[in-house]
Amino acid sequence: MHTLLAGHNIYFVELPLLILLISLVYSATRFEEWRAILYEAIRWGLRLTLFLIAIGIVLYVLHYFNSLVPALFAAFVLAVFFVALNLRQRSP
Amino acid sequence: MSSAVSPPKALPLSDRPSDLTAAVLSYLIPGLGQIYQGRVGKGILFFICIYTLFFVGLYLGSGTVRIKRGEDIEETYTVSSNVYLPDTADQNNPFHLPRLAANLYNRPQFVGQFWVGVAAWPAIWQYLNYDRRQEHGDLLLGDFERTPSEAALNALHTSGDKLLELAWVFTVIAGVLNIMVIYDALAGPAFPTTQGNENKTTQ
Repeated sequence: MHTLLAGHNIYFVELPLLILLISLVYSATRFEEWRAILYEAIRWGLRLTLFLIAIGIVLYVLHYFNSLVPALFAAFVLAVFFVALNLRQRSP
Repeated sequence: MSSAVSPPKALPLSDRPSDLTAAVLSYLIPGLGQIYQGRVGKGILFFICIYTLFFVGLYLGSGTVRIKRGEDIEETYTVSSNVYLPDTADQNNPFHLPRLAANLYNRPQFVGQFWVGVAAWPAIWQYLNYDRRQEHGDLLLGDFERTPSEAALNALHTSGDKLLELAWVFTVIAGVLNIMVIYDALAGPAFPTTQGNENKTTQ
């Protein structure tokens, strides 16, 4: 289809680009100063990346065990991890 | 005086002057409203980011496929872009919606893509002037943002990979993000001051 992009992996080209641009635009609509925009963009970039990795892990577990129970367990563990991470960030 | 808290307090909506002109400009071309307001850096950032998303999506969603039927016959199918609004109300209208609403129901991606501004207008022109008999598309725009044939879409989907799905995600996200950019032009950022600046003003 596209000779320019033939043979590449979307997880290393398109998805990082998507995450980068979404983070930058979203952060720029939240703040006015560049420092705050960049800081917020990095935070959102990391959040989006972790979220996508978590979904990838759950799908991999679902595929590997071919059963819903381990996948739900993995989803629960990751959800607890994210809640703990969020609470740690919010604590003074 | 305000104290240093996180996240910083935003100005109430009623205290912010609305800038309708800037909002309209930001709809037309992402970031143009911010440039009009003097926030040039932010405007350029929005322009580059949103148009990169949109046009990369447009590029990924296009393609040509050649399929061999027999020894001598080779059919060529081309999809020029994934930003289009097909007139499919006659084929599928389960809720008896008005024609345009039914077409948008059948192609909901365009509801998001529309908000990218003038870059999505060729699709509206093509929708209004669509003629199935014209093989090479509209006289003015050609195939650009024209509804592709069902056969071309099927050929591209069967020969393609996840790129086609990701492609329309790019264009839809570009449009949806531009809604936030329009709001930024209309009413300013969600948090106009940061913690650091508040500290400076209170000292």
